[in-house]
Amino acid sequence: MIEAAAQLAVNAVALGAVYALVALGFVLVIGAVGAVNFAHGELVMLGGMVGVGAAMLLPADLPVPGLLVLPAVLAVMAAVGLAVAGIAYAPLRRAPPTAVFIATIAVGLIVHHGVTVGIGPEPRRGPPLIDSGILDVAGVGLAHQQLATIATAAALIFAVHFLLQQTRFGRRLRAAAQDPEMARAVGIPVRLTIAVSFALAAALAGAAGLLLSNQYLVTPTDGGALMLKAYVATVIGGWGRIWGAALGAFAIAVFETLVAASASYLVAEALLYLGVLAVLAVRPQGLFGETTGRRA
Amino acid sequence: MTEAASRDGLTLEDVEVRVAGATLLGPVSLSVEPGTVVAVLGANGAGKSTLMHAIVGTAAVARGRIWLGPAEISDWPVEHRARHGIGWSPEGRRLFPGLTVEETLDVAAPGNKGERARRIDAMLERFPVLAEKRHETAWRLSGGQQQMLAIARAVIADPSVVLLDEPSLGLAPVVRDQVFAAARGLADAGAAVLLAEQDTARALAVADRVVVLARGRLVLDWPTQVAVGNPDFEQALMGA
Amino acid sequence: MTGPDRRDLVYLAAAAAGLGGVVALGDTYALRVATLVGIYAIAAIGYQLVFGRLGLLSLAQGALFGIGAYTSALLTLSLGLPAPLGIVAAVVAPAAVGAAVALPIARLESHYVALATLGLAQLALLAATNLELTGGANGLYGVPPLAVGPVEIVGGWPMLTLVWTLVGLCLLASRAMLAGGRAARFATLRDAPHAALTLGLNPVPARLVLFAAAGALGGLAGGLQVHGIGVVSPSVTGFEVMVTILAIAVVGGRGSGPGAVAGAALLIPLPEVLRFLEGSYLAAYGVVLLAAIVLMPRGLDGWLRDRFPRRPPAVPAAASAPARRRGKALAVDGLRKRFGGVTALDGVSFAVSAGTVVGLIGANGSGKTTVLNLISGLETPDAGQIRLGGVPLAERPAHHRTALGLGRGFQHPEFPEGLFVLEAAAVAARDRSVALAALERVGLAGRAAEPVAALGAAELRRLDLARTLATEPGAVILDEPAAGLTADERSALSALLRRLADEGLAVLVVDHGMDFLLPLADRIVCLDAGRVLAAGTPEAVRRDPAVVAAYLGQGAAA
Repeated sequence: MIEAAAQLAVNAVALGAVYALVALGFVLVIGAVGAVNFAHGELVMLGGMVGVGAAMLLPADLPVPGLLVLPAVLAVMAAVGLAVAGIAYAPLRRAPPTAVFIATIAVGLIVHHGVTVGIGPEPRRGPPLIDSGILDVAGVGLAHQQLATIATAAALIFAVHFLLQQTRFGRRLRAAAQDPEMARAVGIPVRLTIAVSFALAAALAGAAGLLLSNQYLVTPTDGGALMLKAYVATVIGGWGRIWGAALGAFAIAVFETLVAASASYLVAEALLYLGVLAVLAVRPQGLFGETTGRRA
Repeated sequence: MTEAASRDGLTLEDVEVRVAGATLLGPVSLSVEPGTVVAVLGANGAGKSTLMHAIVGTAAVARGRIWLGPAEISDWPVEHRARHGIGWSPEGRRLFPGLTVEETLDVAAPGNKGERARRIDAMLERFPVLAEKRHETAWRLSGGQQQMLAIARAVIADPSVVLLDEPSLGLAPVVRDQVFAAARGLADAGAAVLLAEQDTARALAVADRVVVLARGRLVLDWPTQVAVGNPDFEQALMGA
Repeated sequence: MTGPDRRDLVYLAAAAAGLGGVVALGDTYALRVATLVGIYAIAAIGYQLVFGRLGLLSLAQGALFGIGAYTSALLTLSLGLPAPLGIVAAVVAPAAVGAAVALPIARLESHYVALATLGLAQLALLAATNLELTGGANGLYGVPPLAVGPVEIVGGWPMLTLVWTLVGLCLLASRAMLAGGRAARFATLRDAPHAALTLGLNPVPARLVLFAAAGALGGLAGGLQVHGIGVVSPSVTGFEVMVTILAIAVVGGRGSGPGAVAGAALLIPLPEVLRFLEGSYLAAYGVVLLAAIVLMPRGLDGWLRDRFPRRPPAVPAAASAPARRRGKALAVDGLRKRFGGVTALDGVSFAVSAGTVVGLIGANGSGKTTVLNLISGLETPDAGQIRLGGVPLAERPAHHRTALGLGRGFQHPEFPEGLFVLEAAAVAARDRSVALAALERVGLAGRAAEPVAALGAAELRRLDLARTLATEPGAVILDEPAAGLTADERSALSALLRRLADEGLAVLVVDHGMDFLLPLADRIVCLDAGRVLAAGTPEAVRRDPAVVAAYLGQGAAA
């Protein structure tokens, strides 16, 4: 009983940490350009696939395979993020945010179905971060993978926090998200901060994909649901609020894990969507309203 | 301020701003010498903010030219102007609400870490009300503190031209006095200061020259001592 | 709309060429693809009403398609209804769903519209995949084909003819829905929502009707699909159907019915051309969608419109004299309004008698525009009352106030894209001759047949006044109508406002300076920090020490 509860809690925290990574990237782009990146979930999936591919290139008997491929996933996905910014945002800089939204739907289709055509529709298992062992803590067996997932996600979230709060570049990125015109007028290169936001968002999405790929496998159809959860997290956390969205995503994962354990995953999903519709019906501006004042 | 070597003045030559075919500003010709304050007066909608936007680069100049010292900056991008000597405290302050006082100054300061720290310390020394709020986020500051922060952000890069747009709006009288004293101080340190205001009395008290805008055009450009008490000046102001 | 324009002839020629192509190919395969083109065209014609005309990025059209398909399949399979009745239900049920969600969705912040509609679509997909009723993941089999009496319509030419007849009918229906100035009204509601409210346009019926129609057409397409192929599976409610419809709408040109048909004709056969992509033709849709939004944001229809511009509307031979509405006195009493912690208005009272011009002046942030927003109903007062001809307005929605005789002009008027001057002026008028009369009054009658885009900023302000006057108001409130005008234009405007007052209207004019109002206004009200600082004749207000101090500052006033 205690063991089941402990495992459930670790499960929830691990999933929550990964969802928080996903939401963090999603809301970074909202902050940077005021538009929803509909392809964000597909980038999570693509990151998982890059992880699967990179692991296949490694010799079979290396230790900590997942941690070894993590830098490669981050780098490849950051480049993908730059490409998304160049294709779906840069040409539409002066267009209404809806145009960017539709362009990212198109990018999502290309990624999703490009992967399906390229490597096939079947699910694939990514490398474990450390190994597939079990850690015995006072009689409770906890998977190394889940503990390492929590640690890795926490490290990445901390790194993003450090970047945004403690470095000048992060401060400039936040300033540019809050008021791009004013940011330019104090000398901040706003186009650069936008490009970096896309790169960072995609790198975080990719890392999340890698973290999910061992326990939950990765399938080309995974992206839509992940994007939707990040989107819901912005309703819970407040449109454009970075840490609010991350917390919202964490809450979604905990909710999902608990309801899935007591009823079913299906019920969890249905309740999540019903819940968000109810929230929007009562509060059309979202739970906490706006911070940036810009729309998608 | 500290290194007040040879400073650049600001010159506008027949500058016009149009939006959707309507002329919002101009043609306006104007110059601000280093070490002086020029007050821009005129009613709401007369074009004061548009004038500022044209200089900063956030409004496109349809005709005419803008000079910063010997350099024509009319085609420079906004961030380039900011890095080369235009500092702007906009109407409504437009602080970055989530950034602290220190962070706000840091994002606007040039140079490496040590250089920026030095400049931030100098600003906090110059605006003591900000020093005690160093780690407070901007939206929690009082109106006067916010205005001081907006001015400090505008001048931390040591610009040769400082634009202050309605800095006294919504402030208590005693705080207004501090804001105008700060504007005068900038000029005394060598900057060319352009001050748009509705508080005519206080603006006149610190300005070397005064210009009046009415419906986008410059209707008067006089030394302050000529304008004060002159019925024609008051007429221009009331009619504007 | 006066007869077919040349763009329509291009569409008809393209349709004839397509028909020729299908006949030339002649195989069942070509017929099946052409039928599918028609089915998606119907769904996309419906989608254009919400996506294009209301301007909402709904992602539920695929779900409405699926609801139509399942409704008809279930009714014919389990209740044994004849297929045509099933189709009727497939139209009605999604229309009802569309109408039910229209109002909550249309009032969402724009970035949440996509989320809410996507959430609805996900729920529909979950239900289709998991309910026993809908056959779970396997879906339903053996759905009977459509039949007319004993004749079954199964594939081939009969089905193609039926579907494309319905495409034609849907185009006619959507054209009828947009006729009689409704297109201009929908466009005003979409692009100029504040102006629409103050012109008396009620957004609620437009949203209900367009959402319901979008649902009806989406459902019709789904019903035709299920009876054509005999099976239905959860994938019909899935995202693939939705993005296909979205791509069709964007490629065809946002808002255009014929564009939707052209978009479907271009995109639906694509998987057949790109067979090497196997199942993942959607990657190709992604490329086409991206290219369209970047390179041709107005789509095929926009491209055609640039070559074959819409004909200007017929200008009535004579302007009708506006019906003499009696002028109505306007009075505000004790208006208070706070925004957050800031008091914008702190007990403002004044009156504008019928037949007079009152000027409202005050410095930046003194509350002038807030007064206008409260009078016109764009904002609600925290306390106080507004009366027009004695009728209290404060509790009434903005669009009711127009019917009672209130007209409002904006400082920065918004106009929808693509209208002609007469259409824009007639958007809230009884008929076009009234609108023409209003244009005559502001000196724009000669430009009635020009596009709004050809007007300059000062002329747009006059057009804004004309569309307000075309509602035949008893009182007008105008926000800085003289800003940015030349001296000549200002004196013309001044003369017009004087004439309106002489005809009995109550005229309230906000301005920031005195020189425009001094010769014009009968009375001036000066606001300062949300209170009335002074009120009286222009001369008295001009000499009022408090006003002088507010304008010149304390020191200089002495």
